Amino acid sequence: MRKRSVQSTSGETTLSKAQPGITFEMIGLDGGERMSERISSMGLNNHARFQVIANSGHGPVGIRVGWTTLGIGRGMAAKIRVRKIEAD
Amino acid sequence: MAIAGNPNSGKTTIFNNLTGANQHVGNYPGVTVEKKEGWLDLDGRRLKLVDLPGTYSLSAHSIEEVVARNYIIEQKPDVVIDVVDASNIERNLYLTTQLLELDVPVVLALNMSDQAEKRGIITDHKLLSQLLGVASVPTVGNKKKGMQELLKAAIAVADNQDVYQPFTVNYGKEFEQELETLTQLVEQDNSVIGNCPPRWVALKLLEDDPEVIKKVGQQKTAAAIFAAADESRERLEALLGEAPSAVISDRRYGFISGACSEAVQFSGEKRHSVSDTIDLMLIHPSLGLPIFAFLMWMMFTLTFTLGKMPMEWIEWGVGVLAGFARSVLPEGLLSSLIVDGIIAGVGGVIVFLPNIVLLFLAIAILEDTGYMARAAFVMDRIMHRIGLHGKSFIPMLIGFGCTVPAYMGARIIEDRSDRLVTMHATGFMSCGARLPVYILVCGAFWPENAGNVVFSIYALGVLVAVGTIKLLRGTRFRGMSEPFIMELPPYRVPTVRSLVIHMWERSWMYIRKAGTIILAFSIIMWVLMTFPRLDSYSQDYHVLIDDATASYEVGNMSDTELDSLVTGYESAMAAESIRNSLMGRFGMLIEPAIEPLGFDWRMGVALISGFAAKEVVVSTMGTVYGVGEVDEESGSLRGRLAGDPLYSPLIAYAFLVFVLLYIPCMAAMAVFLRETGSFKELAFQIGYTTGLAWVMAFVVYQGGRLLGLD
Repeated sequence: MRKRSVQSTSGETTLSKAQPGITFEMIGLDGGERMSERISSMGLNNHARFQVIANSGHGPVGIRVGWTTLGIGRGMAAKIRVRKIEAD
Repeated sequence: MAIAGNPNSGKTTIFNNLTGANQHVGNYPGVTVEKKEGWLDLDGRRLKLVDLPGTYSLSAHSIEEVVARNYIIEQKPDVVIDVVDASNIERNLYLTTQLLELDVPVVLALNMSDQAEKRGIITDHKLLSQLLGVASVPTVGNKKKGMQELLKAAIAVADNQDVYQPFTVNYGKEFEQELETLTQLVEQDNSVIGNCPPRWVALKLLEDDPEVIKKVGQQKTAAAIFAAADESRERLEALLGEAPSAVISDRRYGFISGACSEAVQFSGEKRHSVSDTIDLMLIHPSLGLPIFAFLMWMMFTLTFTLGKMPMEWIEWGVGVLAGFARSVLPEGLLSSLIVDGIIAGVGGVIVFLPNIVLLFLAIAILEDTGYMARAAFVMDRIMHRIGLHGKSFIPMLIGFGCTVPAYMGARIIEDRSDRLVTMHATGFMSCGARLPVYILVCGAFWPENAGNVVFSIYALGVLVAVGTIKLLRGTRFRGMSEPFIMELPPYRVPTVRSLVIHMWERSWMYIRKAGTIILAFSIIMWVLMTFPRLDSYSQDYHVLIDDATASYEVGNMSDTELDSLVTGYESAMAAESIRNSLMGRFGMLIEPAIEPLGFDWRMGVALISGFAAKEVVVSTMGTVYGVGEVDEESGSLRGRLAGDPLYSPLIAYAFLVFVLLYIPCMAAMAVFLRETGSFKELAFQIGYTTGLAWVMAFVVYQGGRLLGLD
């Protein structure tokens, strides 16, 4: 396991604004119980690390978490708080 | 025995291996949307296996989850085989933690263990078994490895259930305290939720699970339980600073990573794969959509060009069969029933089989390679603007082939409102069966421009679908669509076997429809159009035909003159008898209702028969216009339509609009009812489509007349 790099809060953003090619960590969710349950069952829970593979600023965001690729709608992505971990 | 697991974990492959069944295995989340059953015999025992739909979780967010969960709770299988994708073990174990809480014996199949090794993921299954308190067996489903061991382990657990002692997730001291209090409360009254483990019910109450709340709500003590649950939730949120469900999933993953850190070795660091590289292109912000559009264009072009030849063979075969039947059967009612009723009716539908098979093959390829999920991803941006998300696009796409599988495909949409809106709009995607009607009518009225006119009808269908979605979103199904989240499965090269199974399953449905519903309706229509029989006609056609023949024999007439005269008399005779038949009378009865659209009773009869199947409209028109057997290429029917003084291109266009929009066929409506389980929605669908068809045809016809187009 890699050690978590020390980050300032300036690295915090939402998934909808996360740039492709960079690794992020999920730090929180501004959504209901239902949404929380859904995304975590698909492998995206708090503290999970993932890479953004597609995000054009419109439409859904594509991420790679572990060996899973997920497409996440823009509305949902805007509610997922993330923190930048490293540049790839 | 039940088989549970994540989508794409290889559940269905294991099910097929164990039972020898041939269920379709796809590479598209939600292939197993309903549970499938199979049997196997082992050591003189007959075991029942149920393949549950693939789920990520056992909450109540989608139909699949509810189906899987209710099966386990209500049927209490002796053992649940939990198929875990070993190459993606942490996420797959998330479902496992929930299965363990349901108090059913579980055995883990660590599937795709070969792929996991390739990825540098090595699982010590014995240690994992100890840590979870659950037996686990490494398997490779597609190579049939580990099947016997898996069966043995499952049977051992099923036979000795009392020894089974799994570890479950500990949610932390405060949380467990609240859970304990709530569990005791639930235990006091289990009149409705009797089958569910009390701790699980308490947990679900903290998670705000709608299904469980509904069930508990039916009990006398509901109010007290709900109040306690609300209090617990508030206390926990204040204490832990997070919603209980977030805590629950965090703890579950904590439990999993605890077990995995001991039993699983991850050595492969770089998590890039070929799939990622392909995805860079296929879901690229600017390339994705053009690639998608190109693939769709290819799909439709191939379907129609490759289908042309076999279509001609089938047409030829049907013609030969009809000719043969006519020659061996004595002329009369029986011959007419078989040739005009059955062979013409069923034959007219079977002709489209090549197109349907090819379209389903194309869809199977898109699904099995993993592209379909990307299509949903790419379309999400556009679908979002009209109020749905990307997943709704797939049933609508399938709707261009046939509405029946399209309605079934809508199951992948979790939210009921989203699903209903999608289904109400799907019927407007012009299905393959409507095409023959367009080809016939366009050939008659716009021989030069038929292609463009047909395209305009398809485009109108899409526009109406979009309008319908907007309308329903603004009225009956208000609110935002459910957020979109979908797994994009790894790309795979589809196996021929899988494609064939997939194609066959759906095509067989079409053939069955031709053999049952359409056969029955062909006979019914024939009866309605034949009886009561007319004894005397306005002219004695038989005498006229005899006269003409006599005149030909003495040399006053050429072959062609005789032919055209005789055909004319026969047509006039048939038209008179149909006008007198039950169907003709019914057509006359409803004529006032469709007169404002420019339609006459004959069109009315054709439209009504189209409820059996849209392609029947063509064969009925052939009968009503008294030209005998027809298909959409039929020159004589086209000539009759074009030459009829009552008709104009404007009326023809209004007719096409009506055919596009009015009630989908009987088979589609039966599936609609089964899928929605709601007569109310069915009534709405029937009323809305047909009402809209009337209004739109009215606007086209009357508007066109005002503009002087008639």
